[in-house]
Amino acid sequence: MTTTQYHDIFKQVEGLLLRYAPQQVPIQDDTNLINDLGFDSLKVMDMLNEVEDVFDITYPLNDLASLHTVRDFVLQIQKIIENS
Amino acid sequence: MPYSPTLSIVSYIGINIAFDTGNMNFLNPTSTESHISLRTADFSNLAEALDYAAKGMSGFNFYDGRGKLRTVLPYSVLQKEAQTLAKRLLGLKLARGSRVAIVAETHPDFPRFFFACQYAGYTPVPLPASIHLGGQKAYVEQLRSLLAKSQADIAVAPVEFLPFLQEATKGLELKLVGTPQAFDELIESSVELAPLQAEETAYIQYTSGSTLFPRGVMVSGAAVMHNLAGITRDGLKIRSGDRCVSWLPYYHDMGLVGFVLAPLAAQLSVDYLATRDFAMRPRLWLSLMSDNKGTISFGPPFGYELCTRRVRSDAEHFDLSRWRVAGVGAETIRIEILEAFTEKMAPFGFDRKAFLASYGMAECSLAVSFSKLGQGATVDEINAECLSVSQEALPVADFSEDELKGIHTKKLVDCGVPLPGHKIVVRDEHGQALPDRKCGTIYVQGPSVMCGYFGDPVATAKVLSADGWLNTGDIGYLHDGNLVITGREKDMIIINGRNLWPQDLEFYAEQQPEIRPGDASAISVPSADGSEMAVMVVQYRETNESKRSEMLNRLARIIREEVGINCTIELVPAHTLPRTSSGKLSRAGTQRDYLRRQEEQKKLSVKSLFEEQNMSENNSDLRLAAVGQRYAH
Repeated sequence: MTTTQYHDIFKQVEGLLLRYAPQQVPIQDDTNLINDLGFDSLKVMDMLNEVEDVFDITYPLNDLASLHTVRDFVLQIQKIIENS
Repeated sequence: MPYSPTLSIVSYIGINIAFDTGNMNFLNPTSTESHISLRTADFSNLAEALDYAAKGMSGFNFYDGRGKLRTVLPYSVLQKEAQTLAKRLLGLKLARGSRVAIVAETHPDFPRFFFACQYAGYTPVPLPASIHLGGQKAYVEQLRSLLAKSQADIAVAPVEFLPFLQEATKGLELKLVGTPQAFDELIESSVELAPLQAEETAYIQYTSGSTLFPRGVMVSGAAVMHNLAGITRDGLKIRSGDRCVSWLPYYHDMGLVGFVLAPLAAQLSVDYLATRDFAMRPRLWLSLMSDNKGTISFGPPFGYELCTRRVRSDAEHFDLSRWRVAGVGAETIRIEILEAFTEKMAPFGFDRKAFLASYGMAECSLAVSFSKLGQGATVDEINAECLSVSQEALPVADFSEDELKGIHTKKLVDCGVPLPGHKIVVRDEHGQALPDRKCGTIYVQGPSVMCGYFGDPVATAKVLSADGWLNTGDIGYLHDGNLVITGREKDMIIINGRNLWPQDLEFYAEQQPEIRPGDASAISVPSADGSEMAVMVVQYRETNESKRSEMLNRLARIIREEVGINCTIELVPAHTLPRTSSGKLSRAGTQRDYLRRQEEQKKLSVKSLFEEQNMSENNSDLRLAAVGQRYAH
């Protein structure tokens, strides 16, 4: 079940990242938000706005500190959903 | 609007527990009317200001990222809570004036700890609560540096920030590091409260500049009260019916002094939105102004720009007609940003005359000057060529149409006259006062000026003279008593409202084994839309293309990770960076040379660009070069 959920979240996140990322590259688990997708601190807020709406969650600001890859992001969202 | 004190207190103690079941929200924000006579900061210290405000009905209100009211903190409750906490802190038996570091998130615990310090006789030190994407390491280092520099005795952070604070305090000798709850478990001391007095340091504000080499501005109670009176009585002319809305961070002077201390010292209610929530959903700022009938709010130009860019005006219904003071400051004010905001928000009743340009800095508590209230932002249009050649700001009205042909002009926003009791002088490099319309370094003197940088007499002596004149490091000119800012001597780079020091960016480059100290020079250049962008020119001997491209990517990545901004990196051969006669890097020279190289590159590449019809990669650089040429001094 966890795998399916991961996959579902990944699919949705992939779509969002492709829309907001300043650099367009194929989205994979280890794609880096900063280095591969070119996000900066302000651009990421724009995307988080939609992530919060799509998943109906509140993304804690301190999670940003350890967010590097797409995998990190999907796992964080998964954890927030499970805890809410 | 009536509020229920019981509910407010309960909600406050049960921090972040909202009293909403389903769609019902039982909380009401504090009333706009305080129901006591308005006093504009005529108190001798901050504790006295809170004691007076506590007699009324107004206070602070905290909204969440969905625009829902989560916590209400009337000044009456803040006073009681702060006094209780002060007694608990006194139980730690710290020396008077000991530093209390507070990770300054937009949360009721911040004012509670800040004012507990005022009552207990300790010095609060707000620490940044700003985290950048993937920036854990950088944030912890920043906290550590501030804790060490301020010699904090205790440190407090909201629970979600505690892991960072704990990591940052490893090996430092603090008496207590914990969440607010940990401090609430301390035993109350029976010692009588002896609040900080006018001559004592009311707080230490770490400047929003360098993160690697921070400087803690010490502001006395008397200085900050003078400034608060100047802001509330003279600058904003506070009156009954005023209500503030703010998303500015508490660890920034405009957020702390402008929107925590000033409203409290004038008994105004404030509605807060966390900075993060504003950055995510800028419309919440406008909807709070609209719903709560806000009359006063400030932001850096970037805040207004974000609204213009991201708010979908066709899908919104705001009433911004009560917004009488839309303050703007903290970075160079470009009139185009204010005009674009006005155009978009005018249908909602926003009046361009609400714009109030301001100039200030933490070293002068906050405010130095305000433009005239109710006039909107006024511009001084000058001949840009004269400005760059002879540092003279001559109004275009002095030139004939023929003389202006092919000449670039600049529209600079007037920042008004200094607050009462304060003086501004513009001086040349020899310290000689300059006449009207001559550009030089801006110096400020007056009762709001800081006592100095904490534990740093050398840095203090560099900016503060024995007779109290503060070298602001900013460049500008006066005309008819009005101040206009044209640049910053400090070479500061401002991106999205954040002040960045070039030394910080250069430091990260110099950490690379291939790059030596003095091989990197960071500058700010205007981007295509006129906003600032960061560029770092780095001397690199390697000629192998793949190694060069690896270095470019590595440096850009490190800056993004450590500083959270996109920085354009340019690699140049050794001995390219210009230096001053004393051998120091000349950033002005770096900027001039960079723009020249961009221009040359543009000329060279125009032909091939047109042939290939492939503008995407270099497009922004090209436009930059074009714009850069126009703005270059």
